[in-house]
Amino acid sequence: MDDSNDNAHAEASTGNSNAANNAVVGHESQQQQQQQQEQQEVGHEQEVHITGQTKTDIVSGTTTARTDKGKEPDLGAPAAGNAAEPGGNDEFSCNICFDSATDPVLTICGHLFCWSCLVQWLDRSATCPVCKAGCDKDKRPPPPQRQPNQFFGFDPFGVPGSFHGAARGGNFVFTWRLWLLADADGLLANGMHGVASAGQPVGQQAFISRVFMMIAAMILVSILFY
Amino acid sequence: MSSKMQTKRLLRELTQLKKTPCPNISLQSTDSLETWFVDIKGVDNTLYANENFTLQFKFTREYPIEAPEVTFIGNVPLHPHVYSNGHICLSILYQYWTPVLTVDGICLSILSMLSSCEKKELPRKNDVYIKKAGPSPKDTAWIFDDGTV
Repeated sequence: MDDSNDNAHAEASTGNSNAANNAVVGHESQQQQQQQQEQQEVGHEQEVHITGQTKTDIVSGTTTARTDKGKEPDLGAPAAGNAAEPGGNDEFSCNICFDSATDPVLTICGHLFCWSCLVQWLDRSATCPVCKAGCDKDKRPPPPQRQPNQFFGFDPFGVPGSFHGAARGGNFVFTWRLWLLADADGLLANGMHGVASAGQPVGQQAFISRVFMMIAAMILVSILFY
Repeated sequence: MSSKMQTKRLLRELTQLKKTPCPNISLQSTDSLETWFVDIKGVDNTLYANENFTLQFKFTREYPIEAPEVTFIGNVPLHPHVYSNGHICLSILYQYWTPVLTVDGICLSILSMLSSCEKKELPRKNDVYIKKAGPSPKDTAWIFDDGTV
């Protein structure tokens, strides 16, 4: 029996099992390179309109569209709202879970996914699940609501959604105050929880110091912008 | 064990299959969402016309990120890419799986594979393979050499 070089297509051992695949894979990677080149040409600056706001994201070759939960990106088509068909046929459904995309991410090849679905897949294979276009590790979209701040070049507070796009707009201060209020609510809840459970002085002190920090921050912002 | 993503996606596929059934493909009633049995009927005017086969789908917790385990059970078709233990040599079930593929998509691919067959015969080295292979075809290192399927 000639076990060595004939083209029997299944082997229980992993020995030379990749030999036959290499030709195909090599060919595919050439295609991917071509695709990537095209994508880079097109993908320097793509704008995604999100419910009235305009945001430009250049995530090294990957355009991402982020919306609040429940809002749909308006990509030139009439918004479908939340009326996802049970069969997953609506045009804003994720290509992996077939549900309405949460934290929607649009790959440069134009395919929509939930951020978490896409990242789970990219951990296994660096390709687009729909068209097999390449997506290297360093080109994957960033986690939702953790993008570096566009105005400062870094996210000073690591706060979800703090002034994205608003930094250059007129509503900067408005957004900023909203964040403060939201954070104060959160702190208040934490502080009260601390009182109820046992560590009352620690919780109260933290709360008071945060209030002072907030006031200081507001004064700073007022000086900067008025 | 099932994950939220797996359950959600399988329920969607189930509704879709019931709403728009594909010709020659019918789902057996099942009480488990993790294991499905799908009956497929050989396409007319092919070597497998009027023959009925049953495919077993086992979905892991990671489905659809991970491919389902698909095997023929019971009556295994005599086909150069189907081993007599029910294991199927089809790229999309292993290395070339993508989460975009669905149960009916897989069935359609298998029907297409059967339909394009020109001669009913066992795969080469079938005996060697069924002795060496584990219970799951996903543990096999497959080589895909037939581009005509």
